[in-house]
Amino acid sequence: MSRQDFMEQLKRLLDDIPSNERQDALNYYENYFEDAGPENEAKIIEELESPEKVAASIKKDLFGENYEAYEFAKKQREQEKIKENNAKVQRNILIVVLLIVASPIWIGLVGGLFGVFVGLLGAILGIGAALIACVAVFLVVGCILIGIGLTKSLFGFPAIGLIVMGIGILMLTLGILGVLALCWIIGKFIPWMILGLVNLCRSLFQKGRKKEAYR
Amino acid sequence: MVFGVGAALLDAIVLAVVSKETDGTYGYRITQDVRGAIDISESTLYPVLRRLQKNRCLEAYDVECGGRNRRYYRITQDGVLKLDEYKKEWMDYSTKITHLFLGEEQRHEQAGFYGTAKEAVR
Repeated sequence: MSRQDFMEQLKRLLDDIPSNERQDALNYYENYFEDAGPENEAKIIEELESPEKVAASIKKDLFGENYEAYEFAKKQREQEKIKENNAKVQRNILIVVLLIVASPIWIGLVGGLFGVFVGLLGAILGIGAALIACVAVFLVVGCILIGIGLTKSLFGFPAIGLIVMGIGILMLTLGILGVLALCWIIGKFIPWMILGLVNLCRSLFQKGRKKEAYR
Repeated sequence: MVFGVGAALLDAIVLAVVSKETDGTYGYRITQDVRGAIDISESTLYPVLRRLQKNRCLEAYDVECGGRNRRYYRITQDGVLKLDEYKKEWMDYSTKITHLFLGEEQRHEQAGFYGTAKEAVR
């Protein structure tokens, strides 16, 4: 061990005493090495035995009778810390193992949820298509009925013609209302839904990112 | 040495060593001088010097020496009084032990020598 190693270890071992006491002790031993000269360095390190022994002699004097209790408490604290860390590692391993073991369940669950989501999307699309078809039928049938009504009323059957024309106008109106409703749905509701989905995804990702930042 | 050196004796020896240097002395030299009399580990001296400083028996001051500060120690008035006390105690203690070792017949010869030594301390 070199003089520099010795002093560095001593400094580390004394990091739990008041800084002025630490500085005094470190100065003393720095001076000691300087005064002894480089030729005596190895001999002094050998005679001092170890930085641990030097640190203990300083602390024994500083803490007096409390020294043993102090060291014991410190050792206990360190052991507890190690135990706590081990427990944390064990818990993390357990979580990973559980995730792997339970993978059929959660993969199934995620798959199921994905299926439900796709199903719902399909249902919404289907309902949408049906609505569009309905509206189209109303518009077309309305127009045809108006045409039929018009010809009937012009060629001898004004009563039936007017009724048919009335029904035609009613259907056409319903169809136009349907078109307006569809326009509203496509123009407002769908963008709102997409925006909602995008926000949901973003908040999920941000939560993940925040967790990363905490570590 | 087969006999242990207690804290008080160590304090007394260090005080005696420092008191011999009227211009003060420093850690390494104190250690060398103490080790001339008793065999102790080098790590023992720092706590002793610190303790004597706390008890105001020694005072420390820094002197620049070759681009660094070397810490010097010198004895205070309190330290001189304490050292006298230690010397008396030691004379008393060592006389008794010597008498015990030498036995009755030699006590009278020895008493003369230690008697004068005691006077010199006073």
